[in-house]
Amino acid sequence: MILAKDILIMIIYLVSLYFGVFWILFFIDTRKRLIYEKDINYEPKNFVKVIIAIPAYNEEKTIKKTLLSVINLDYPKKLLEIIVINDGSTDKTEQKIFETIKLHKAKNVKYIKNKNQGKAASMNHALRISKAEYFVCLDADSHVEKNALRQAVGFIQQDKELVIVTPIMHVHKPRTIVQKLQKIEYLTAMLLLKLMGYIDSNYIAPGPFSLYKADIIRKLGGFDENNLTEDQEIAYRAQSKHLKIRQCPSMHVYTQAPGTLKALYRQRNRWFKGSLHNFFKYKHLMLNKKYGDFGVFQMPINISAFLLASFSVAFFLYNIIKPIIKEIKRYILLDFDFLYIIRNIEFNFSLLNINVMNYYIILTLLLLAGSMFYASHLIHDRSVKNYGFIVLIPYFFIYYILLSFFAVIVIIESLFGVKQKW
Amino acid sequence: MVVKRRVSKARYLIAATITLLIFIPGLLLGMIIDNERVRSLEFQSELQELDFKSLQFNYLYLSYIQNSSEQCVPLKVNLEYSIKELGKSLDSIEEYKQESNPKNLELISRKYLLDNLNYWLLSKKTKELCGLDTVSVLYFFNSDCDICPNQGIILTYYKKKLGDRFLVFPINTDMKEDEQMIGLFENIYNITSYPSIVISSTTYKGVVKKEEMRAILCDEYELGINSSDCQELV
Repeated sequence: MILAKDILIMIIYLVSLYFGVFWILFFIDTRKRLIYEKDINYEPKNFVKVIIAIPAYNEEKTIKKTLLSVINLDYPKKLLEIIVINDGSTDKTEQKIFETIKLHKAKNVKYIKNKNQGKAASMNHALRISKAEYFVCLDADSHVEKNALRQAVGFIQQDKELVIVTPIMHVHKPRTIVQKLQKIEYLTAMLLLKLMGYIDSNYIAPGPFSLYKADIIRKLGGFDENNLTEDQEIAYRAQSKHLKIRQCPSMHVYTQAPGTLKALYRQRNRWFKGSLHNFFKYKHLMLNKKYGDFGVFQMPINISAFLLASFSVAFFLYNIIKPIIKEIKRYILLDFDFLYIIRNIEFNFSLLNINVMNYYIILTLLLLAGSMFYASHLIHDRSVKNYGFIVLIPYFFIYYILLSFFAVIVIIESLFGVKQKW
Repeated sequence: MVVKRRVSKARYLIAATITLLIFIPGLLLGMIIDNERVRSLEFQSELQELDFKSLQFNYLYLSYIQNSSEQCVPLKVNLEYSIKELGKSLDSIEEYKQESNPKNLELISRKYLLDNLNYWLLSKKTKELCGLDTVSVLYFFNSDCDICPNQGIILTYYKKKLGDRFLVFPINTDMKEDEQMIGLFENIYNITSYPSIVISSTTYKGVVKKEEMRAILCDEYELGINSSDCQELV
């Protein structure tokens, strides 16, 4: 039994180590290209018509900033069509939209009011009513830099094969610890998405400000309205049709990250459920050489993430929670005789008592995570000292375990058929 | 518009090679530490055997010269010391079992078990010969028993309180199939479930809690249950 447990630990460790080593090596291999590309100014060869859809559901707090950032985009106003779709909001979203349009005399902003149908339905609505060449979606809790659209259009024009351009997402003004942790996470995730793009393995087109060739998305059938993560589904669908997705290194988008653990859980529950659903929807791509690195490498990573999360939770419970429970039990059995417990504390340290392999596993994986953390900061010109060292402790030692717990809950809920609304 | 797909075989191979280069030293280090553990336990086991032989001789000598209560003191001291060392070694085995492949430790565990039974026997004989004020406990447990560690905690508590006056001899019944002595002891003391403890030929089944244990010990030490000495045991 113990032997089987050890073998399982070794296999899981080898898999995680392999993926980590692969990305680090790939980063080292491409770092010059990464550094070079981030400073390129992707000016459009010719300005074409673009539609920006902003689906909004109860976004009274953020819609003004979102809309304003789009109105102020450095792009010819005549060629820019902004459609705000109020997806059945019950708060003051509508009022805020009207106030912003009126205040800034934005004539190119269209307002549509729908019953609550979901984000994908709102985007499809915008796709149907526009004849623009490029389609951009912007979540109503995000805003963009002034040159973002110019960069995206310039970027897509320099590569005829490109169909979807994704942005570099940042967490906007993180205040709570939960937001600060996500800020670090996003930076690493954005580097990984960039690297995935280099081997045509990008599996997500983030909701905030991904740019699409509109006619191709229409031919693909638009966005999946019955999907929890339609931005991931469209990327999977694009991959299944061998369409090219790349991240534009000079397009920056800022999003409002969940500020509390409860909000983070709700968001990740939806993301993870969507991920599982999409993986199984496109399972025929798994290990399929026809899809190149995406099928052979990225698809296994996408499903392994859930297995690794389950393992991390089991490892955590076994090695950390179990001893704590044992200690609590001891206190109960001894009628909380603290005096006795304090008197008999023993420091019986011996190298022979240490499970060397466990420590080796933790150390090497931490080193890999640390390397990715450093690399992502290097590429995005961010200082690792920005957050203070206190945030790094929960980031490296708690945050991913927490996300693993969320993933395990999703696995359990999915097994029991628990559904989730958007 | 369609992407020409590629499989980055060379990258996968390089990553696999480096992964193995990182993995193998960790594995080797783990194996080296495992071997060191076994060697350390074997060495301790040899020391225990020597101690036991010395004690056995000590006892035989005392039995031979008889009526020599003064000579009991060194025997008592040696016995206590050896049992304490044996206890430490057993703790190490349990810790190592959690950290390494227990297959390596089966033989050593069996050896320690026999040492334990020998010491238990010797402690009983010494008590009779020298009239020692000690209580010996045989503690039967196995690794499938979830509540057994609870009994271990209570026994450790009294061991720390009473020191040399309380001698605990743990019997890990996992080795029952290999070691016939365990079956013999279980038959003698009617051990049918775990944890069970035997104090002065009486078998107590299930976890004996702190208060219950105090009452048993006060009885064994012939202290009135309400006496201050007995109260101090808690």
